[in-house]
Amino acid sequence: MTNLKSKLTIIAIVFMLVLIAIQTSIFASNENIQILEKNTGDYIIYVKDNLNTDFEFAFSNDKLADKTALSYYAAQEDTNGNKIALVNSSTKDLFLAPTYMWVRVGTDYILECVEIDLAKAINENDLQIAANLTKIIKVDTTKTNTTEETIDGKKVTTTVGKVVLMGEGEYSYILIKESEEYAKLRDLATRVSKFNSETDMYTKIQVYTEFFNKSKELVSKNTNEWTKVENNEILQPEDSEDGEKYILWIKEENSTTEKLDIQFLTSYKEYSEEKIVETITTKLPVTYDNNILLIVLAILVVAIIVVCIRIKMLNKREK
Amino acid sequence: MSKIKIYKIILICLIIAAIIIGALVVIKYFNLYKNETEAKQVIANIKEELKNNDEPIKEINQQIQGNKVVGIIKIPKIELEYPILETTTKETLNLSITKFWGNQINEIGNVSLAGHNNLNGTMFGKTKKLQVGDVIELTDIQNVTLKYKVFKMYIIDPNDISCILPEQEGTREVTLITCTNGNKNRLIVKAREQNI
Repeated sequence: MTNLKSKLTIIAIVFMLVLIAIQTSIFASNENIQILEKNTGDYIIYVKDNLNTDFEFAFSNDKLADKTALSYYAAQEDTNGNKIALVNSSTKDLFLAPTYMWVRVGTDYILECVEIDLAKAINENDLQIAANLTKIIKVDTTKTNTTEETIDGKKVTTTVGKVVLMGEGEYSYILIKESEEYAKLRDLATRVSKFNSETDMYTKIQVYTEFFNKSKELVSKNTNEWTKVENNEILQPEDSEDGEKYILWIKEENSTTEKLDIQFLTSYKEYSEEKIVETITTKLPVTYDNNILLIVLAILVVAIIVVCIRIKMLNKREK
Repeated sequence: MSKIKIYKIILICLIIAAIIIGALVVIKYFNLYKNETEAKQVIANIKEELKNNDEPIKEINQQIQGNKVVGIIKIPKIELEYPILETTTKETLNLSITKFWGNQINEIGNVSLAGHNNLNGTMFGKTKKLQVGDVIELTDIQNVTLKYKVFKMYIIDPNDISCILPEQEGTREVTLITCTNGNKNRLIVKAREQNI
């Protein structure tokens, strides 16, 4: 009896696992799509690994809809020639209720029942901002600040990095030492910096969205930390050590506009101690007694005597 | 114009020049005399102060024309005794012997003193007469007198400043510096504390 019960339990577990696996393959994750909200109000859906495939797509508010009975539309092309599923601005209201998407190529279903949430789409303007982050506010991060002080007879020279703002607006900043939470943002920035003409639109939107949202999330955590920039310079923290990672948010405010940018910095510190050695740059003092006056006086006396003798001789000759 | 007249004009010019130069010589030696007198007076003041105090004085507090006295140098062999001034400048060198380089008087290390090689034998005018083994006495501002014995005398180039360094670490040394061969060279007299 006990054996039979165990066998039945195992069979039940196996059956459950098979069911879960089937469900997973049917309800594909929405990680496979990226949605871009155009300024026109249209939504463009990019399907992972299918930017060059002529696919067909269908939407339904019924999660359990019969996929074969749905109305499928042919994929369109964006301005770069990528195959896309387009949600027209006039039909977007249909997506207020939970909506699901099916994608097929011929008779092969690539995606099935992927939930479409237009609210999570990245706006075209935000995408542009994300693409330009680190380049919005012009800065020079190569400058350094050197201080010299004398401690216990030693000349201590410390050189640290600084950020110089190149514009002429009102600036404020938040400088955060990088922790694990902030390191994710740097990783995303590194990925963005490696984008090139080969990078596909799906990947770009995915990384830009993540980068934009993460940056927004982290800066909103520190809104009370904004510090006004003095003399267009942001100095490295005094206690920072060489090689430490920092994230710097910079805000530029004018009467009409406000710009926000981010910089990923690695602190630089050079410290040197030099024993102060008194250097002698002098000659030994001049201590001779100048006897030129006595010599001149002696010459004058001799000359007077000679002239007197000469006058006397001339007088004698005249007489 | 006759030759006699020309010679007479030359004679008058020479006499005027001789009077001017003579006056300058007199002024120079008068100043030397005045400085000598002032230096001797300072020495006398210090001795008087010592004589009138039963307890040892804490610090010599004398000046020559606003220049602080940091000690006294005495070399019995050449009858030399002068206050030592704190700094070496063209002006202070005309007043007395000066401290050119080094620690305080009688401290461990080398102290270099500079003085004019006056033709009339004052200041360091007679140092060339010193010999190895002669004694130099230095009195510091706490009125402590130490005796130093000459161990080396040599002539160097004015640009050679190696003489200001101590010859032997951990000892008290004094270096006397004065001109020789006009301004071409320096006569260096090195002495070390006698007891060591």
